[in-house]
Amino acid sequence: MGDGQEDSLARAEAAAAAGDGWGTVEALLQGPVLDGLVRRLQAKWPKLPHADMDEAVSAAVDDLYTAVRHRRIGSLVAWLFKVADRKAGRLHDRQAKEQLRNPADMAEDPRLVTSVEDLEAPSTADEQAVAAEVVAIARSLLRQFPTGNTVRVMEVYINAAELGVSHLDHAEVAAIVGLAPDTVRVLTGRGFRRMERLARESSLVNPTFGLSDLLDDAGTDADHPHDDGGDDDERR
Amino acid sequence: MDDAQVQREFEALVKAAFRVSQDVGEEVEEILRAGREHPLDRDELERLLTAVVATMRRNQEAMADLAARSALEGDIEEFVAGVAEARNRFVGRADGPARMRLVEHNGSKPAPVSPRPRFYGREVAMRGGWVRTTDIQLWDRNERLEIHLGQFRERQGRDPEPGELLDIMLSRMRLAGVPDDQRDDQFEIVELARSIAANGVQRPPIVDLDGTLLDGNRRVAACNYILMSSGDEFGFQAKRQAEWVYVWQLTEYATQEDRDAVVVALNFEPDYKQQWPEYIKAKKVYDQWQAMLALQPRSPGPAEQAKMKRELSERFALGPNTQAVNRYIKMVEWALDFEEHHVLTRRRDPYEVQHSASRYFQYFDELAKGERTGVAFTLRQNDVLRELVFDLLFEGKFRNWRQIRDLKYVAEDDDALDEMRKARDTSDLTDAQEHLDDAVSVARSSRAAARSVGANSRIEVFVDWLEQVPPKAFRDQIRAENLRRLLGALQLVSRMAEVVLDEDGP
Repeated sequence: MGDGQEDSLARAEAAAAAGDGWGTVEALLQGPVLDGLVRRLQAKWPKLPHADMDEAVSAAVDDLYTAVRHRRIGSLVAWLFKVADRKAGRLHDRQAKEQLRNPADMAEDPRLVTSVEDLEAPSTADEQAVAAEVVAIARSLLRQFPTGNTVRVMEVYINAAELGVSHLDHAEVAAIVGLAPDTVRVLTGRGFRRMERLARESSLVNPTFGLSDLLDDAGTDADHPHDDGGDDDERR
Repeated sequence: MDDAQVQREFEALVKAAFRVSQDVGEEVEEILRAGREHPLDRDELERLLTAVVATMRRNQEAMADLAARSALEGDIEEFVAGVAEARNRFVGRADGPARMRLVEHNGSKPAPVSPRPRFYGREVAMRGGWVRTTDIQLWDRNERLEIHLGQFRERQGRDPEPGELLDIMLSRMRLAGVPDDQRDDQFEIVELARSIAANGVQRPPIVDLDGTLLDGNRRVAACNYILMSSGDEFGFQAKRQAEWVYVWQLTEYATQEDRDAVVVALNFEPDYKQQWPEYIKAKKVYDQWQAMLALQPRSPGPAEQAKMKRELSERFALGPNTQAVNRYIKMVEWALDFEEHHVLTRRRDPYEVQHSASRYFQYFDELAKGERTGVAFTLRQNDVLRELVFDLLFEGKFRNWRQIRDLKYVAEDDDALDEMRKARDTSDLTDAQEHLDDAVSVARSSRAAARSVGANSRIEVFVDWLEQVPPKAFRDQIRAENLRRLLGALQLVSRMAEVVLDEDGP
């Protein structure tokens, strides 16, 4: 990453931490981040209208602005991308549903057949109860893992999702659990494969459920089942 | 609780956790590349900014975050215009010249310079980091080199290569019109190199993105001088240190105004740094010398002293030989005598005396000269004259330091000494200086008269002696310096003698 980009991101982070909204936006726009984010989303979601694109990026900036004021974020760009991409996907999905009356459009864009579901922040008491329940289920699955570093890594991700964290670098997780980033990368892939398998065996997910659907150039090893690097939980 | 709802939420949780874990490093790179290559145009920017600020305002309001909301108050159009203006400074610079990379060295990593330096009232963002000295290009638009570069272009019909530019800075390229006394080191690189060898580069040179120097040509040239020197003045350690330079580098967002501000602020504006008075520097050297002597188990011999003084000279960046150290030590010894006289004998305030010693410090250089037959010798032998000189010096009555040189003649002449006393005793500076002029004139004329008395006897004795000197004494005993003086004197008198003898006839 360029030095000037780092500089503008550092300024954006500092401004957000200080509660300076104008400063945050201004600093982000001093670098090419928001420009690139718009261009990347335009390439990925070509049918999304301008207004939706701007809404997705706005949601990402707002999420970042709020998040930075509560916690340290490893990669601001990755965070922005994940939030904006998720939001763009949801807007795209909503648009698709609205267009269901026109099957011709659906045929043109294979992405429309995949539903983009998301973890919404629970607002009602019922929703909060459900949220607590599913987190408890996830943790119970982790107890079926062989004890070791994979469990610790997965607990971090579950906890992050529960708290609405959008992105954690492997390096950040590595710092939390006291492992090397490369080891975390391997354990992450291994952990989600095991989680998916156990959930399916326990009928906790639909038979069609698959994390690989979410992989769009993902860098975890979830799609490399024979990776044998890092921690040896699987072999214990 | 609905099983389908739990299943849906569980899937969402796992997916969310999975998304959190996804490494999007390549996406990030792609985003930055796309942003650099295809920045938003003004309309897109305004639309996005408006949406961003509206979203942030709405959400902060919903969260009842009054502090954050107030931080977003203001005219959105004005804000958008300001951001758009600021962006114009850097958009389009992405395809600029190749960038010089700052690197980590000795555990010091590249990082933004904080707080941001100001140049000519402008805050300019910079990064600090290390680069190889040999990778830095001297600035060929440096105003300091304007004449030299003009000469070079006229002669060669082209701009100088980086190596040639360095040759100009190091005075290795002979250019007509450079004053004789500056031919060897016009830009005073050697002294700077000595300082850098002793203390490192104290002020970071400033480079542009491509590594072109905006400030620090002399410092970088001095580092190159150390690296290229073949003698033993700069050892392995000095060369290793000079191999890397810590620099400040402009960012890709720097504008031409930023560059101009850096150049103007650092090359046109004085930095108001005032050198230590030489008196202070000399006392530092002297104190260090005394400390070194105190650590010796016994009084060091001449060779050992010379070695210690060389070490001292290097430590204070005074050059490879001991000349400057010796000079400082002698000057301080005379200054201490001066201070002792005024504090103990004249009962003056010690600090007033030290100020005086500092103000007239260069005079002690003259007083210290001629330890065997000159001024220093005369003053050491004659307490009255020495104290008289110290009094005149304290009161600032010497017209210039050249008058010090004639003091050795004053000592032998009572009339001249009397004039000096009058100079001391008068409170009028002009009168005092006239008395001093008279003292020197009287002493000189007396000296000339004394020299002419007994000329025949002196010549007869000298010639008799000279004729009896065995030839091998010229080779083995008489010093070359004396032989040269003898030859010079013989040549001088031979012309005068021939003229007189011609007039007298055969």
